[in-house]
Amino acid sequence: MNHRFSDDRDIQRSFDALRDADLEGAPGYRTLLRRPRATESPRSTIRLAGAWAAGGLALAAAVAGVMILFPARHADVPLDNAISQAQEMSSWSAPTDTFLEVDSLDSRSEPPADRP
Amino acid sequence: MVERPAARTLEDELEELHPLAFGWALACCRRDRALAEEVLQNAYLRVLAGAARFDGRSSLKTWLLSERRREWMTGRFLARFAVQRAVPEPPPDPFTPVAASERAQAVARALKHLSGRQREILHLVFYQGMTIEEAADVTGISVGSARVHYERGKARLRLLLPAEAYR
Repeated sequence: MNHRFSDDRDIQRSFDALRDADLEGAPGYRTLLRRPRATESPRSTIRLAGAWAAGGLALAAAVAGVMILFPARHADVPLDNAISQAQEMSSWSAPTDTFLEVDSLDSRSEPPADRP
Repeated sequence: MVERPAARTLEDELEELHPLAFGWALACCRRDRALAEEVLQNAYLRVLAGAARFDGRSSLKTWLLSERRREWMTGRFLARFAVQRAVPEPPPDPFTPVAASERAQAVARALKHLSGRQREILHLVFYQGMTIEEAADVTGISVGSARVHYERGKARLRLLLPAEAYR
């Protein structure tokens, strides 16, 4: 069954003209078949691109594996040094803390009393 | 499964279908003639080497177009990059008179502004002389979808083609 209708003849004529133009200068079957292959086939080009992509993925996987197996170690800190550093940090006071002391009231430790 | 015809016979068949196959290659490669020739040569060699086998379920022409379509899709994949690099071509002006000798160029330019599926279906029907059912078979879509692409493609083509191209 043909679904083309009579009002499609205009489009048909355009395609007929296109077909005639395509065949002008088109290589013959035997010429095309027997001529040397000038370039790599698209398929092989795709295959080459795939190989490069696979190689890149393998390299990334190798780098990730090395990073997992040999993680970067932080510098070891002796326990005694760590304890003394923590004590120093807890006893540290800022030089401006004296400004908070008003009338011998240490506002840092004693909250101000409510006024009646 | 039907046995593949002898190489000599198959080659004769290919030669007979060559003009239409070349047109199909051009359509699939977005009118890039050099790429179409290269892809078509690869397709012929592949068919003759037996990498693609005719199973007898459809006509040889339908089978060849659909089987080679895989090869040409690869070519079209590469052609897409070439098209992206190129400066986009403006659509034809519907009000510009077109000489009869330029009708082919006008329809070729207009086809570039259709979707890939619309272009394929219209090519198979009007250029290859197939029915919509056969075009659907080649492109691997349902007949209903093919009919939708066919109608929409025609409507778009009528808007794009200069009026003089119809005369």
